[in-house]
Parts: sequence; structure tokens; C-alpha cells
Amino acid sequence: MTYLVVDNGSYSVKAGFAESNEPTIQHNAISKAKDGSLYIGSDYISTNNHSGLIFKRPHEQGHLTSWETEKPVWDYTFDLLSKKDINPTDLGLVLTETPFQLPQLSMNTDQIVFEEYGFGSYYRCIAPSLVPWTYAGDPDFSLVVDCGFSATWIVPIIYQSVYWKGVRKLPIGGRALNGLLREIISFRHYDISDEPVLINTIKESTCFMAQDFGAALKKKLAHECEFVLPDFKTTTTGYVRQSGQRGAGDLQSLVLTDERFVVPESLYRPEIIFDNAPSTSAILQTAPIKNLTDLVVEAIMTSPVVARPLLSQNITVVGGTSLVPGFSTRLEDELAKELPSDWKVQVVSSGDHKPDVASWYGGAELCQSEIIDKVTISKQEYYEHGSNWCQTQFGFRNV
Amino acid sequence: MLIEEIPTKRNANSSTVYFTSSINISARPTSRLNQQNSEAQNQPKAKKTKINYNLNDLMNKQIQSSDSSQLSSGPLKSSQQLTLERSATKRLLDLSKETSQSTFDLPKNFEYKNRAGKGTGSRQGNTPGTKKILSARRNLNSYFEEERNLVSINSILGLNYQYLDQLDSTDTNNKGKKNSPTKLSRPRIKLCCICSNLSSYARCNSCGLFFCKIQCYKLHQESRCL
Repeated sequence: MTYLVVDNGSYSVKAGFAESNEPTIQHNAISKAKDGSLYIGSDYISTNNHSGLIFKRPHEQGHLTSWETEKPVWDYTFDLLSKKDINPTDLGLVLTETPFQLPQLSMNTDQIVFEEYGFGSYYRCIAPSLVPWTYAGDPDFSLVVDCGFSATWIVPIIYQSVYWKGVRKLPIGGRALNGLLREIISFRHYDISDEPVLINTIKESTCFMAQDFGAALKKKLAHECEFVLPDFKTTTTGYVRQSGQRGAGDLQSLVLTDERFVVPESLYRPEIIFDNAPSTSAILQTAPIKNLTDLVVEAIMTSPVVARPLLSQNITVVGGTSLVPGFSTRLEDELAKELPSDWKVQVVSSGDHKPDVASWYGGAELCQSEIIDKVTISKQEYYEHGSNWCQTQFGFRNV
Repeated sequence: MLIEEIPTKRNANSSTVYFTSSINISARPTSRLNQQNSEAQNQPKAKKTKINYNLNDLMNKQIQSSDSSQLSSGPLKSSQQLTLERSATKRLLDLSKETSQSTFDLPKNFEYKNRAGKGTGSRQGNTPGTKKILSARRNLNSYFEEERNLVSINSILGLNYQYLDQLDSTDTNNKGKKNSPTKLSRPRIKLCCICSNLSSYARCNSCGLFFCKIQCYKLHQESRCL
């Protein structure tokens, strides 16, 4: 049976046949332009003016709530996969969802998969659990840090199964970082609060993770860079002006210094997000807030004692937000300070694959092994037992 | 609705529950079931166990059993903790708004036309079940509201607040220093709200934001201070 692997992230959907070399990546949203026309997936990129786009995303806080939005995006993506129409009845589907998704919503997904699309067989899991399949080496113990769009999940995986008790969540992801950047730039420079595409471009092209935050802050002028804003004639997305490149001329530009590393730093110092809000309550200003390091340490320490040192040296970083330069070296550095000194701390990269598509490649590898036949359920089984039964097969174990 | 016997004392502390659904709660891990079955076979005339049909009792028992092992979310939270969680969530939701106009409704006749120009009928649905799912325009909160009797809902919602330490714990060790938040290993960083430099001053009197020098304070009072 041919398998279709769909990593259904809240920012982008990564879909492709297990045999193919790379997934098709589409924006997981329907967007509405200023003139009222609607674009599915990444279609909006073909228009020249990304200003004032509004996105309607099927996910809400990571939970897949709106199938009204999701189905056109899937249909559109599946159409891009092959030249001829695909027939889901001969296909198996490997689908990802957020950890601890509300069971009702997972069952909705199951119903759509079988009753609407009619896939022949089906396996649903959380995206981090697919990551160990991409390892060439020892995949028995691993701790996956999935830093995605809506949240950061820390998932210990022991012998290919998720250790649910150790799963931790930090509700800061790419989306919150975008929001923080939007706030800072709108306050200091121009009001860009209605330009989600531009904010995302600025973040992706300028932000980095400081290895030593204090030192970087003292010498912040050394990190100065100039981002040229789009004028929709010479550039539609905006770009970073390289040193030596011709001056921006009459183009408007932003000079960014500390914004570049203060924004990603909020993963390690969440008070950056909570302190400088216009209306923070006093209780939030004194509350102890755990950061990414604390939660990773917590996840390791909740796991069985023998597995702990093994987890600490098999940490894998995936997800789009981890593309921020310096992400994994910083995490390794921070963890080495917190964990016992005789443990080896190693943040392994996800092989040759970029971290945002690592889960998809993991899914593709899973489909090559014979285990896939044991974990999938077929359409007949679904119609015999129903979607409640699906949830007992694929759902999380309550902890 | 499937109603199971309440776990006997011996089983009551088991916190692992194999989740099924709101209408199909199995209160015990299957291994325990097997164990009991084999025991029952050994002693066929064992005392009859009491059966409790009250679902609320069942649910509370489970919540308490998971609470005793670890202070998790649930009905035992202090009001202080709830305020903290609420304001933190509000802040995060503010940040995750991508545009001032948060979203839009798809037009009624919107559908994706595939290459053949054939509409896929994104809204119609093949069965009554999928029809309902495809046309639903509910937000996440309404789903949470609907499922609030679900046993696992506390662990799902509790995950959102794992990063906030409990403000006051009911732990006996901590009784003396109530209301003093648990100490973290690292100091909080204070960044000026105007220029993001390190701030060594106190907060602004009226709004509580940090500033780093007098110029910033003045600017702050003119612009950001409420």
C-alpha cells in the first residue's frame, strides 16, 4: 500500500507520498486580500501585494477546530502532489496532530479522514513521535523539543512510544514571537500591526538567538542591521541590507538592534513577554515563570531514572521556530548548566533534514518499515468500531 | 452509557486511565481488570463489591487521585493562581492575534475547485456526521465548555499552565512561608520598556513597567503610561 504522510502543523501543512524525496509545503490557512479575494494555502505568494492580508487558520491554539478551513487547504495540497487525481481508497494516511488534542476534535478528524476522504488505512500520532525514525543511530531514547508556531512541546520518547507523563508545554511559539516583534516595532518605528506577512519575514530574516544575552545586550549596536521595507516596486517582501550594498535611497527601512535577539530570548526569559505589556497585572509581574530550560529539565526528571541520562544526550530540536540561528547551541549550553555535570548533554540535529520538515521525513521512514502495518487501522475496522475506538487506539494516555 | 464500578480501595490510587471518551469512561487500567478477573475466578464466592452509579463521584475520585500524586490543575486551585493564569492567558492571546481584525468568515458558497474545475463541495459532507463537522463554526472554548465533564480535560487544560509555578502550595513544608512564590534558579531580567536596555530602577509608580534612565521615564510617561 502507498502511504501519504501529512504533517498538519498549525503554520504549514507538509504533505507527500512516503516514496517521494520531499514534502509539498503549503501555508495552512485561507487568506483574504484587501480587495476581498480569497487565496488557499501558499497561493497568496503569487500576488504582489502581501499588505493587509488576513489569515483564517484551521487551528486554534494548536487544536484543529475548523474543518471548514482545513478541507479546502488539504484538497488544494493533495492536488499539487501528483499529476493525476489521487484516489484515497488505495492510500494509507499518516497524520499528525498536536499532543493532548481535545478528544472530540481528534474524533472529528477521524470521521473526516474515513467518511469524507475514504482513506484505506490510517495512523494518527503526534508530530514529535515521528522524529526518532529519522535517526540513523540509536533511536530508543530521545527527547524531542518541537518549537512550532503555536507552542513549544517537550516530548520524551522511549522505545518509540511517547512517555506521556513527561510531556511538557511552553505556550510560546512562533506566533507569540511574531506578536512581540509586532509590538516592539509598532512602538518604536512604524505601525505594522496589520502586516502579518511582513512581521514574519522580518523575524525570519533578522532574529537570532544570543549565546550570551547579557553580553549581547551591552554591545547591542554591534548587532545593528537595516531591514528595507517593501515598496511594492523594487521589492515586495522587504530584505536585509547587506553591508556594502547600495543605500536604501528613498526606500523606508527599519534599523533593528536589540529587537533581533530580545524577541527569541523570551523562550528563556518569558518575563520579557509578560513584563512589558501595557496592562500587566501585578500578580504576573512577580509570578515565577518557568522557561524552556526548566521545562526540559522537568521533562527529563519525570522520566524513569535509568532513562534520564540517555534522554539528555539525545535531544532533538524540530519545528519551524527552531530555525532561528543559534537555537540548538544555546539550548545545549543552558541545559549543561542545569543538569548533573556527569551527564552528557547533546542536542542532536535532525540529520540532513531541516527541522521544520523533520517530522515528515520521520513519517516517511515509518512507512518504509513493516511496523506501519501493525499500527494503522483500516477502513473496515473504523466502520465496525467507530471513532471512539479510533481514539483509544491513537489517543493519549491520561496522566 | 457505560458505567463501571468504582475502584476498590486497593485500586483507587492508580492514576493511569486509558482514555476512551466522554460516554465511555473506563475507570480502571485494563491490567487491573484482568487481575481482578483472575482473582474472582480463584475465589468465586468473594464479597460482592459495592457499585456506585454516581458519575460525579467517579469523576471527583479520579481528579483527587491524580491531585494527590502531584499538584495539578483542578478545582483545588487558589483564586490567586486563577487570576495569574487568566492574565497570562490573556497576554498570550493578545500576542497571538495576527491582525487587528482577528479573522473572517468564509462566504457560504466558497469551495475549492480542483484541476478539472470540479467543485469538491467543501461544505456538503458525505454523511450527516461529516456534514456537521464541515459546517461547524465553533471556537475552541465552546468545545472545552462542552467537554468539561471529561475526566482528561484537567490534564489537557493543565498543560497550558505548566510553565507557571503554583503560587501557594498546600504542601505542609511550605506552610510557614505562604504566598511567597517558589524561587527560581535564575533572576528575572528587567528590561526598559522604551529602549530594552537593562533597567536598574524601580518600576513606574502608576503602571509598573521598567525604565532605565530619566529620559526613558519621561518618554514613557508621555506615551505608554496609562
